[in-house]
Amino acid sequence: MAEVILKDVVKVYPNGFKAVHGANLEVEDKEFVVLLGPSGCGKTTTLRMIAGLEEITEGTVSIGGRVVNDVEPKDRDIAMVFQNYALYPHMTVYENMAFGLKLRKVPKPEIDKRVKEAANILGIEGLLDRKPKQLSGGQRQRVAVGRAIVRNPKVFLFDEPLSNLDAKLRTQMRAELKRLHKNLQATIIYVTHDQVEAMTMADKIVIMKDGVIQQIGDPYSVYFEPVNKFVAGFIGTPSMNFIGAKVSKEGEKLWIHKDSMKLLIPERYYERLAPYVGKEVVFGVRPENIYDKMFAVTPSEEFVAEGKVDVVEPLGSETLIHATIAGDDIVAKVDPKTRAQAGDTIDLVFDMNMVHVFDKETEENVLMGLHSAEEEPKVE
Amino acid sequence: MLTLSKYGKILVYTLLLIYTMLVLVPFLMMISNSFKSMRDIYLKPFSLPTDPSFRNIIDAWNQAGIGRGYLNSLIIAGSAVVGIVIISSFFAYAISKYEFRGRRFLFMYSMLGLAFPARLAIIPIYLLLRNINLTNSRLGLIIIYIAVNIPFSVFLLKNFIDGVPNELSEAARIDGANPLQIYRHVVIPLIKPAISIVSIVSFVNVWNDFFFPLIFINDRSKATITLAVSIFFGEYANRWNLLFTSLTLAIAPTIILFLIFSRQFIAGMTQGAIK
Repeated sequence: MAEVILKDVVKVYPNGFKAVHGANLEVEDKEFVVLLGPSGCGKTTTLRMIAGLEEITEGTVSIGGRVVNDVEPKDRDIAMVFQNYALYPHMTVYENMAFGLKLRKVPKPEIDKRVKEAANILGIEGLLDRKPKQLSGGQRQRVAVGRAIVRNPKVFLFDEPLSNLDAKLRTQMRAELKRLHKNLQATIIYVTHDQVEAMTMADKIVIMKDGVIQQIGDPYSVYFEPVNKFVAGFIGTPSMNFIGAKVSKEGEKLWIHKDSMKLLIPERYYERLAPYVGKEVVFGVRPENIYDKMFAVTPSEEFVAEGKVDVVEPLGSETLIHATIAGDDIVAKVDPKTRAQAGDTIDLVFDMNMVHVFDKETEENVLMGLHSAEEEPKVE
Repeated sequence: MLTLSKYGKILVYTLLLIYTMLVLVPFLMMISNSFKSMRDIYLKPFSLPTDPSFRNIIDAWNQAGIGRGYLNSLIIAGSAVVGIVIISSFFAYAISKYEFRGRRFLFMYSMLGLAFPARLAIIPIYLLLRNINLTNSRLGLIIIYIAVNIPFSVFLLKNFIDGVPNELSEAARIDGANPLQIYRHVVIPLIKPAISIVSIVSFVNVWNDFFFPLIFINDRSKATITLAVSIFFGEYANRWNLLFTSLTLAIAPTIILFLIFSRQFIAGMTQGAIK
């Protein structure tokens, strides 16, 4: 069993900078966990503490039930893949992969067997005699992964392994890593700032900001149930639209209101929003939950706002409309057959069952727990 | 790439040629005069030998004890180089890759050696060595040379080791290497060019040094090559033919060494550790 447990882990650098503030995280055996966040959020520091490359200021890290705070990296039974591959330039691919085993005094035939197996899995059998300099970025990445695999560790740590690759290769390696995870049945902790990588590969995403874990959850829950405005804005491309608006009450009905924009709030949100009546909130809606009225199934005037189109970006499978609603810039991901053009004023329909409302002060999601992923997104 | 006009090229090549002549002529004179008789040297100091002979070489070899000088210098320079490379590379590795209190101070302290020539401290050094009975001893000289050459070597090696990415040593740490294994299997192979520069430069420094042997060595059997050839500088008369010959013999090994290693030497001077 190779679960990794972080308990109140704090990292303070000698210069006084607090990189990680009391991180609590449970990585289960065979789980693929992605630490996600913008640069400087403490995700790499967290990974390096798990690896043992960085001292833990407070709290404990345990791997497989053993507290490893004072255990050397080599005795933690982990392997790490670095962003810039960190292959030994003076050694061949074979020697790079064999180095760790050699140091552990694994018998030569066994080393040979394991290196060849790993090379086979990664499709680099033909490169074993080459030096890293003679390899392309993708090949180097494979060798770096191979160096981790041959050791057969309990836990794999990846530090932004795909960020030096071009977009096409990245997509390909993403799928390969996912397949590898399935085949190796290993625990993987993976650091990235790329939310697409996180969404596509993770069993569980850990979103960090300024050294604090914001939310831990599977890709669906962090997407549909972001705990706060930061998570909501960080996950998803294009990112969620935020509009500063007011909750207003007319008779029995609650509305999201800003200037010309006035949208009816579904009844099931009333209870949560009651305290916010008459107050400023941040109204959040994802681009794909805004439709061109012409293509909405049952457009009702209560969910429509008028937008002035600034830019239209056809992507083929969909079209992005950059528009201004009541002074705020928004992006809508609409049907590619839209006829909207820059300069037009169009009616945009909001899927009010999928919207979010954030507290203006705390930025917390007021509607947390009301958008379960299973629910069919529907247009009223 | 910079390009020069035709006239610019002519000018540059002329200057380079003059410089080359200035450097080469004394060498060539020394070599050509080492095959002449005294009479020939006085009459035609700039000509090629009229009656070239190896007589001088045999005389100088025997009278100055060139063979013994070679051996002593080889022992001293060789041991010093080994000591310099080992100590400086460990030192540079530690202050380059390890965080510890006083690491900056240690680096600055070692750099002080670049600012102050050891000869300034010759009296304390002499007293120090006398107290531990290492005057008139090859070991004493080796110790001095190691100390004298450490600042430059540390400076150079530290710069190279700084260029070795930390990820490499971290990867090695995770692979299971201890600090000594990281040094041996990762750092050293990557800074080979710097090690060859340090070796050559300090070997030549030690080989050519006349000052320390002159002060510390009284015993002819322990004389270095520079000390050995100095017997031809007389108080009243110089024996030019033997002097030139013995000087030629004295510098021959370093020139040969340089020719053999010039490629690594130049490569080391012009490239970083990792590209």
